[in-house]
Amino acid sequence: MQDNATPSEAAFAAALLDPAAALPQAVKRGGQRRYAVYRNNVTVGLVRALEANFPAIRRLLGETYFTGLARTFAQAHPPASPLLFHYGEDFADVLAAEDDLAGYPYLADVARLEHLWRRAHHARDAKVLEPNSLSALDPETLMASRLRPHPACALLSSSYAVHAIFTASRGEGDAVPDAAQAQCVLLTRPHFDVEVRVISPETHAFLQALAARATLAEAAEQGFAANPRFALAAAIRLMVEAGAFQHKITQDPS
Amino acid sequence: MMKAIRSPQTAQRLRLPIFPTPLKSGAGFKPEHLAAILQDTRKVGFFEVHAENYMGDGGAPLAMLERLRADYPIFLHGVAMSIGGEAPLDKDHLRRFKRLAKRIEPHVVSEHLAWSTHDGVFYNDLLPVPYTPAVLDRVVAHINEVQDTLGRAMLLENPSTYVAFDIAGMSETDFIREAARRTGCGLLLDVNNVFVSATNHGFSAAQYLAEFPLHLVREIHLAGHASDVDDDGRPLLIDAHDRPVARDVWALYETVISQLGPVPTLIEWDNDVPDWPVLKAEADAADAILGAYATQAHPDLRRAG
Repeated sequence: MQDNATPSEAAFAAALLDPAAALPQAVKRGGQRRYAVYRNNVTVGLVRALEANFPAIRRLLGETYFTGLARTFAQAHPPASPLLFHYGEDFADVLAAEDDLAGYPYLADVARLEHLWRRAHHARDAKVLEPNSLSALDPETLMASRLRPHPACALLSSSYAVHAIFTASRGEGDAVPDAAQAQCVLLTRPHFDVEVRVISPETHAFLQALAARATLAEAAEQGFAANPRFALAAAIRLMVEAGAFQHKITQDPS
Repeated sequence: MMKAIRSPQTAQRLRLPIFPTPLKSGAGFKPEHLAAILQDTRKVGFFEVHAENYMGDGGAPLAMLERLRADYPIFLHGVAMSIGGEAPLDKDHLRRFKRLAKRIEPHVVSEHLAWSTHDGVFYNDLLPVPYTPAVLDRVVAHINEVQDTLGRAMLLENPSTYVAFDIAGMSETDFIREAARRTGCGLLLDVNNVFVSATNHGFSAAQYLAEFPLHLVREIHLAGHASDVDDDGRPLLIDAHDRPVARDVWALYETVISQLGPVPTLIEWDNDVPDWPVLKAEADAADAILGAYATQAHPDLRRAG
């Protein structure tokens, strides 16, 4: 309950993200620059959080442009949660809608990949599927099996060379890649480090079906539908090695 | 390294070591320092972390903190509970805090006399609370809720403030004393915050400390601040945590320790973070002062230790 003598939080909060808003009434006179400390703390703090969450985007845009964009984003889309390592889920959509960036259509997918990377980094720990637990099954049981995705596992399909750009922008890859080449990506965290790898479109279709609780047989069909030359054995080897799924295998009907 | 001991209740699970209260300095933990810390043969008394940074569900951050917890007492410092806020506490956030405290078994948990969330927006800053009886009631209710949820007492930290409210309210020290009296919480005295607020609002830091319930202080924070001026050209200090502790703050700190005896003291350095040896040197400087008053026992801390 609000008594009349107590200045309201709403008035104080209203001007924090709006540089043009008037000073809250309850603040003592002469406090413009003093109130500006809070304004600055709020915006700079959120811009820093976006910098930490989107290092590749920052590198691609350059510091000055990134900071301006991040500032506008923070003022229009402040976080709802104090877990700032997840902040910026809709940053990709804002990048996609930005007129100035129309010539760089791959930016939004790079931002999506960075967001998935943070999710994987903080995801719940879980035991990954071991190679011999699949090889111990007879072929019929194997193909009727369903797997549960590891909490850190994520898939992304892009019309651009999202993995190459991401890797180069985080300072790990070769020179500027050809952005126009489509890439599918698998993110996993078999131990403590997040692993990001390029996968073929048919492997992407296969893993996406498996992650949606299809049986191995059903998921393989999706792989073959995407490409008749789908290499099932290699895809299974890859998903086990990457730690994409949890150790528990079920053969239940759905 | 301390050896982990087996809990009598759950023989399966290795318990974390129980440390005595470190009457020494500690440092704010930065992941980039982990390797240097684990190699450093001269240990600090404890490490403190911002709880929110470890509220993910798993992965490297929590694994790193658990590794550190095997060797050191960990102090868990919340920066987002919005204890001074008008809204009810965020139940999800309380649950996450509890889950983390259960996992890490921190030596101390603390939060701020401030608010950071309003109408569903998290402002990521420690915003000022007007010191009125009505606000005191809700701060008391919020501290009680935190303590009931965690099943332990928390420490409440005095804020640094930049604006004053044009109201006839209570003094900050009266407000904090009442909040502690009504909830049984302990206090975290941030000496830099006292100096920053005193300069910004033109009151005496020594007088503030004379009025502060020092006997309830269980931890001290020290940090560096930046200097600016306000609209009228008067000094405006900013609690920036981006540089060494100021000479005046060290002097105030020594005054407090000379009255209290040794209290766990944290060096906070959160922006423009230096290499580990630089941060460690600040902690050593605090230890020199703590050591000079080591024979003076803080009665409650000695008993707890």
